[in-house]
Amino acid sequence: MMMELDGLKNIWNKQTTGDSEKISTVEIYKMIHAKSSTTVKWIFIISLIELGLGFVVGIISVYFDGYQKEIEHLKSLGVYGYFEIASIFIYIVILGFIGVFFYQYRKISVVKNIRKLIHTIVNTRKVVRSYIIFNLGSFAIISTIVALFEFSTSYKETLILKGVEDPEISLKIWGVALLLTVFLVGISTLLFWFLYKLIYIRLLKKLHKNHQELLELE
Amino acid sequence: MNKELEIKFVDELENNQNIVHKICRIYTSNPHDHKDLFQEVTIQLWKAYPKFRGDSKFSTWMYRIALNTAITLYRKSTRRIKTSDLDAIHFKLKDEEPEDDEHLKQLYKAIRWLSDIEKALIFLYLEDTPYKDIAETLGISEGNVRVKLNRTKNKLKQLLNP
Repeated sequence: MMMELDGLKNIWNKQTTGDSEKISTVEIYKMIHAKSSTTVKWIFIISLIELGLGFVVGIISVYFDGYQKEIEHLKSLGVYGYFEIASIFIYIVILGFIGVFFYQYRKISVVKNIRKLIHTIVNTRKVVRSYIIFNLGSFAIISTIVALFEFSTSYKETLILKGVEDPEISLKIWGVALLLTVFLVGISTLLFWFLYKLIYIRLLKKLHKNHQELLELE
Repeated sequence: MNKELEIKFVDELENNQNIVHKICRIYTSNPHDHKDLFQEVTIQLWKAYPKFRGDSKFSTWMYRIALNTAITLYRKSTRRIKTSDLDAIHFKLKDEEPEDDEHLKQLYKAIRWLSDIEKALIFLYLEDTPYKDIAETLGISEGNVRVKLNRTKNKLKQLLNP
């Protein structure tokens, strides 16, 4: 038998809640005091961890011996001033990201239309994604500079120990060191990025799919 | 939030719970998820309730929040649903006629094959929502609602009459 939508619409409008589905007044009272578990809540928790982690790790690391030794080492090399400027810059940027994140998060409202709501959630996520890109970028740049700096110092020390006076590093050696450093830093940065993307694939898959469908409609 | 507001909200939701159940039936596939989504919708409605001005009907306001919760906030995705899961649908029909029950179950089965956005469109169409309100709920133009709704209706017809 052919099923027509108009006919089905009449049946649709005849339906009421089944006895086994009916939610009682007591249950509704319990529900309004229950904890919510939405995509937005998870995004918020994960984002807070991400935003806070860089900050907390930075503060805690100050109290470790290794960090103090590294600071002394940087001071002895005369580059501690640059390190301080870079650290202050990074913390200001992190605080900026946290501010923008909260501003975007406050704009998420369930009474908005579906397209606007998804758009706001996606934009909030983009702030944290940019923050991660910034962190990975700074990690890659700082690691490359530190690695090359350490290489130059220890290579020259080795040459001095071998009795070479006024040691110089040839362009060829610099080239090889640079390529190797960029390769290793690149691999570890990509690995971090890949792991990071994995966390969100599941969480945001549904949201992105619906967002895409609404965008295609316009 | 004050007790008076809470009593008023619970009363309104209890009287209009059929709307939320219909949305739960199309976006979930088993009684556990149905109740889970119902609870999430209830929480979101309650959070938004103090700002509900009463400019629109409580039921109209519910459509938007319930659909937003199902489409964007609810984490589980249940696009492909087994036929056996349809036995878990527990609606009741007024003036039930032979075959109506089976036809409605077939309609739910077909709707569950649609995408989340198509489900929302068909749901609002079945609820006799004007094009203007569908457009406002989804955040797209009225023209696009007409085009997409026609396509979705054709898709649904094919699913109902393979």
